[in-house]
Amino acid sequence: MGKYIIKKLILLIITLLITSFVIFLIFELVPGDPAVDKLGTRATPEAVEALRVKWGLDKPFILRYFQFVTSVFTLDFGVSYTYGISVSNLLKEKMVINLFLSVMSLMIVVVVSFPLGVYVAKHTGGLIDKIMIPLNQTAMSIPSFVLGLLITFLFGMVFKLFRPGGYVSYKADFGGFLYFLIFPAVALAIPKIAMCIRLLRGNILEEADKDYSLTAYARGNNTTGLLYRHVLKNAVMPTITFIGMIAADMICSGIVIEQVFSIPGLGQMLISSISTRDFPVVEAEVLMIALFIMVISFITDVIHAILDPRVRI
Amino acid sequence: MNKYKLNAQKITGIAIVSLMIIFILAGFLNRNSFDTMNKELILKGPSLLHPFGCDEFGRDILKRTQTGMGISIAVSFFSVCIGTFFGTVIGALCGYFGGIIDDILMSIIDVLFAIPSLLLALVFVSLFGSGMVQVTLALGIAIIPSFSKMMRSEFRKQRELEYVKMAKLLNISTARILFVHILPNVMETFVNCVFIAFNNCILAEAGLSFLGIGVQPPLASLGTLLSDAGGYIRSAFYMVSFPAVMLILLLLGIGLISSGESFHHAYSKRFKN
Repeated sequence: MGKYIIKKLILLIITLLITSFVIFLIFELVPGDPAVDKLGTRATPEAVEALRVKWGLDKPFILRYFQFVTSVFTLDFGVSYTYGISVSNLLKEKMVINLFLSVMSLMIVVVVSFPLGVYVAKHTGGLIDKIMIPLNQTAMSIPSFVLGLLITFLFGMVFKLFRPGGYVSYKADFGGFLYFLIFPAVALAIPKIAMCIRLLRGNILEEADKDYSLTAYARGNNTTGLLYRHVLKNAVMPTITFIGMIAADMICSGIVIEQVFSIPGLGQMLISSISTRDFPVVEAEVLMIALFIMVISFITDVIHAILDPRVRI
Repeated sequence: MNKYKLNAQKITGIAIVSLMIIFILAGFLNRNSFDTMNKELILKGPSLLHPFGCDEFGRDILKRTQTGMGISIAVSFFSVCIGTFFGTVIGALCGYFGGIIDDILMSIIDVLFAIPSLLLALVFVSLFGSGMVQVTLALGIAIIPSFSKMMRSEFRKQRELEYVKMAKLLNISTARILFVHILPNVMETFVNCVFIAFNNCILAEAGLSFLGIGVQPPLASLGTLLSDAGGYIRSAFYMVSFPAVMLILLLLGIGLISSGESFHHAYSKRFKN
């Protein structure tokens, strides 16, 4: 087990190195000098040079890349070109918002889709199963930002459960902050719930057809015992990987959802820094998101190994 | 050669998508102009002349939805073409030959695979600027990783089969083996991958345009329409509902074509290796 985790950790670090290099290289290849962009073409060469030194652009490429990689651990991403304050200060608050949003909607996905998926698989061909199939397909095809618009209209304007656009900062009112996040979290979760239910149902049915299930059935298990004691353990594996992928995807769909609910999160920061070509912020954000995704996939791998001894070999 | 099988779901999907295409083509019969502003019609609700109503500049939403959907589909179509071409070639070469190039390419693709395609597209847009051509390119590049990964696992499996070995013995050129002999045998996965990619592209394009960094005005895609309408959700909900319904129907149709067990199949394939 320890060996497996170490192997995965090493892989994680290698992936991180490659990813950060690619990200850094891409933004390095962009034509134009950020210092000139900031000061305008009429600025004196001395002023431009001074700014370049201040931003550390005068150092060689490798040195700056090394700084960029270590910044993951020191959390020092340099200074934002537009705002003039350190990037980590800028991003800290946004990341808390996105973390809460993703975790919340992930919890909704798990809590809703697992019981429903198992139920639907157990009662295949039943009434609920027959209703669920078209419902699932429809829910899967609604983009989450459209759902967000619908939720804003329905719950914000018709039922008046929350004030559209009335984001509450978590520092001012934590309860209100969590309450406000429920709605975007639901909008993010619904398409994923549909996918999860479908995957879980398919997996359970597939596992139930295998020989070991037949053997277990022949040994006198009833369907419920068969399902919970034998089939579910195997069927849940791909779903866990899938939930890891969902977590990664949530950060991305979150970017769009933020816009719908006017939440000042990572996404809005990303969009604004892209349009102002504030590259230190963009680099740091993309790297943090990629790191987040890698950590998620690492965690799913570890959970896999804990649940399934065969993976560890 | 196994034929691509049609079931009830796929037929429903094809029907919905054809209806959508007819809807777009009917746009050419629509007399209303796409971008002429009309002061008298500002935020007018649905009427006989303008069945979907008019937007904040008095433009006919029906016509805008038809054109916008056409643009969405065109952008997605070309990005899928780019992604499919490069994805298949990379996947086929990696899967068929294996070896060190395969290892290197696959580790790079694994890294790219870890970054969601919307984020990848965002990065490209930030580099090349926003606009229709840039978005098409960005989305095309963004789907290469997942596509080549799926194609690679298929080609790997086929490589070990008898008919490929026979073809090799008969001294048939590698390119012919890859694309004339093997490709038809992995057609089902290929077609499903194409439709899943198409689905993702439409979603991502709508997302990018919704954020305002996709298709730029005066052109509009479904995402732009929805983002414009978002500001008027209080006073004119029909502005959101009609384009939204059309987008959902389009995605539903494409989803149904690529659906059935194949969805689960395609995803579970991602878990292996």
